Amino acid sequence: MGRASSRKQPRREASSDPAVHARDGRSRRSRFLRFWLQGLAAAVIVGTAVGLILWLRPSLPTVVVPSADPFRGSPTAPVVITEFSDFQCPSCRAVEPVLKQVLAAYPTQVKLVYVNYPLPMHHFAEQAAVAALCANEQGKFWDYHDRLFDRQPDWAGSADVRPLFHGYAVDLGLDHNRFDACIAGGRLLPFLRADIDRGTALKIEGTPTLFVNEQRAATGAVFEDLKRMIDEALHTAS
Amino acid sequence: MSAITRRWQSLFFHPAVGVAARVLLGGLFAVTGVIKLIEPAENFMAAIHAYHLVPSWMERPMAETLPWVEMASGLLLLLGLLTRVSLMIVALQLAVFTAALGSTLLRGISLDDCGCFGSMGFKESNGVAFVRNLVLIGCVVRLVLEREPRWALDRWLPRPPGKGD
Repeated sequence: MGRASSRKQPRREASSDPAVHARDGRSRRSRFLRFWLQGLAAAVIVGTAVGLILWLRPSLPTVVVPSADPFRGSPTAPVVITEFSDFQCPSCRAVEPVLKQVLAAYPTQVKLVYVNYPLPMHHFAEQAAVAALCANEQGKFWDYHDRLFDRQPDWAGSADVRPLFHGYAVDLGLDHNRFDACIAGGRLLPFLRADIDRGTALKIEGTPTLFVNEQRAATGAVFEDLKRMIDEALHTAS
Repeated sequence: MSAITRRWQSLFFHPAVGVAARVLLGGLFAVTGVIKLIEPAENFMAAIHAYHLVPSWMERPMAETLPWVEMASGLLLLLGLLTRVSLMIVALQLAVFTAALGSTLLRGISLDDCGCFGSMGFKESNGVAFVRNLVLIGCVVRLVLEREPRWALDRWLPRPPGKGD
């Protein structure tokens, strides 16, 4: 209030006093200059911050869904959930019932694609991924996948996973000689590397990371989150 | 006015308190904005969704834009540049966030994580965040009552003649 009234007072006097008029003009110019300097400084500072953030921010490309990956659900489903997962990761184990719930809720509308993304901190994750790929060669990927997650606490805490993985193959009726040769030969390692490279290109930092078509799901997404994303994707597709 | 009231008043209006309030408020908004910006927007979208306050079509635009406003207004307030304007924008956001948190408490929605700090490990329940926001509103009040912010870039810029400190 005080500032406003002190501004008005010289204006009234300006008509009669040229000195006050000149001072008022200088004051207006100065205020104008100050305003522009503030704006310029703010633009420089905020612009620098925006630039830094954009530079630091991981660019998040959209997922490319390869057709050769193991999948569950309808092959022609309009919505594809791509799961980047690690067999030794407890959160990946925890998300499995959620994904099963999703597939049960959308039997013809959702296809679930599994992509291996073993994290370096998980000592046996890569071996588990190779074992699952070897099971995939015999058409038993999902059985083996389920077994690995079911028994995760057993093998993740063991000293040597090989006998356990071999045992799961035998239990599931796989040709165990072929399975063992597949693991020992390392023939599928390049495919695993390709999966990891895809995840790295997508700036995946943790598992599980889920994509509903091109949309990345939030960390820790629950059934309701996925349902909302699927409904939106179905709405867009229709 | 009693001596105790005068003492509290002089403490409340101490310049250091003003600077601390500005640094706390501006710093917090700048940091939380940056955290949300370097994460995928979907994480903040999920946090917005948990409040069940806005229609789903608004969640993505909000998640994409709000952190930029949060970061820019917080940074300017922290530095004391365009202090009044940035304070107004920060205060408006704070009012909206506090109202949203208050509404979840009234509706009996329990949130383990208010989503205020992105998903980088520091989680705060909606109740704790609501109380914290009341403290921040106290900072806003202190800054609104401040005639001229100290340690602010605004003070370095040329002033109109006749304007004192």
